Amino acid sequence: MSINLVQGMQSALTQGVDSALSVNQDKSEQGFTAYLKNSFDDVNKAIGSADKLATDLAVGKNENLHEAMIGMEKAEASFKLLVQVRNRALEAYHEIMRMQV
Amino acid sequence: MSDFFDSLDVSASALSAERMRMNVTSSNLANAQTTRTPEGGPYRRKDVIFEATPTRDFASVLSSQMGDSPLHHVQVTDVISDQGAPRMVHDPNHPDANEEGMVAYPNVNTMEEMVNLMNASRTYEANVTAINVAKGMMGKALEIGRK
Repeated sequence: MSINLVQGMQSALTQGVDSALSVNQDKSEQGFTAYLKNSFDDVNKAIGSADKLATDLAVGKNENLHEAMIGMEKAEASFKLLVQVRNRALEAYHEIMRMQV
Repeated sequence: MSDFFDSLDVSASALSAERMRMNVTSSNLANAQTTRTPEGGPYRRKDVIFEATPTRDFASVLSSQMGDSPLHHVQVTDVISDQGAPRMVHDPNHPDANEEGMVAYPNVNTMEEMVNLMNASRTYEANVTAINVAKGMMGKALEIGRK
């Protein structure tokens, strides 16, 4: 469920950023979109591995309780960072939209 | 290069090591009265040997070889048998008694094992605290610039 959530957010946000940046095909801004996509993938991976650790623990494949917990902590930290990046991007977007013309 | 997650991995290795120590101590306590083993003779007290190892994956092994990573995981590299003399108790009716009626009991001191158990438990707690502190630091870093 959490993975789908991130993927939904990923497509929504990257599309938004893509369209916002489409007027300016500057290389560095393309870099930011790519960076954003990469970090989405990384967070997805972290959440996926945390999911797998929890499943392995539940079915008895892995008896390392703390490894599952730490995997989940890592996923949570990565996700929090991602949310902060999203917040900053949206904040910048709002700042631009509020600009007087 | 080391990031926040490295400290989590190092602490995780310590948690594994302490759990192993706890298991070995449990085995010692459980077998404190065991007079028969597959190897023959009474059970012998086991002890774990910890070793600091460079972190496991290729990148961190490389960086530790380059000398720029001071981080080391802890690992249980060996479980040794204590070769101390067994505890001799006079009990001629015991099936494992020798000609003089003495039974060899394991060289396990229950008090010592309890102290080892407490030590393992406290060390485990300390490492969990280290993990939580690392996590708290990550959280604080995310608060930078928050309104």
